Amino acid sequence: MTLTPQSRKIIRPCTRIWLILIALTLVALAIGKMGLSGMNVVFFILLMTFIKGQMVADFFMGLKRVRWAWRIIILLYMIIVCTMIGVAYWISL
Amino acid sequence: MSATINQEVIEKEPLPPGDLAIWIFIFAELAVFGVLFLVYAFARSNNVELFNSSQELVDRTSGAINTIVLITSSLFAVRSVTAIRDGDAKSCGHWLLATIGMGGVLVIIKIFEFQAKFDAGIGLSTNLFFTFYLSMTAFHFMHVILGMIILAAVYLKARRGGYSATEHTGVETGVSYWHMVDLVWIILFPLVYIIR
Repeated sequence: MTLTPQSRKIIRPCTRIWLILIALTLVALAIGKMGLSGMNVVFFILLMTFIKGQMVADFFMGLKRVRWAWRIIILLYMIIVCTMIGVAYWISL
Repeated sequence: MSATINQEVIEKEPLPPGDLAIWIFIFAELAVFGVLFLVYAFARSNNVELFNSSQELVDRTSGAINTIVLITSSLFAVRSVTAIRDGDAKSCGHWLLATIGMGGVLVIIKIFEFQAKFDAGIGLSTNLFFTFYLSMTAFHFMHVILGMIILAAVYLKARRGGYSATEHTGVETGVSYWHMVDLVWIILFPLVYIIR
């Protein structure tokens, strides 16, 4: 594969994003294996989920390079879904 | 000169990569999954003990491996787009094959996971948690299969030289759909396997 300076700029951040996504997944697995629960844990996991989702949208789907009107749809989606899941867990405490 | 460069740096694309129709489809799919996630979460709030005890029976390691497989497949998909933007159709094809291959790994893991549940006598009617667990993961599974079919069609066209550095909308379209499959799983995994 021929790497132009432009493609290097695209690939390198994506590889870093991939490593962060893997690390966050392993943290979530560790929390699950330890059986941790409670609102703080739920908040932390949902925050990680939000960050992971935004990373996929911005860097993998390429929405970071697109006008805000498009990017904000996924942003709002992640905020609404993660917040509402958090609310559902909060009312069950 | 400096102002021109800065203007180029902050200039945003007017539309997301790929065909506009796939984005409408992606947003519709995300809405459907979003509703499922919220119905699951609020159904759980009325059945906390049932959901927590049933969740102990799901294979978290398998769920995490699936997440890693999907994230890695998404990276490969990004590389396929990068390759075709550079005019390297052969490399694009290889990355697409690698993406499809990772999808195949996920399919195999999920089949074993489903089989283990059925062997343990767990089915859709076992309880509310497993109704959600099996329905949502099977629904996602079908999207993985559809994504693999789309990427296979893109790969075949790429192999025939159907894409170039200047015309590769098809690659971006197929890959965007695949990222949506990844995005949905990123929420599904902690929701069903981890949070309690």
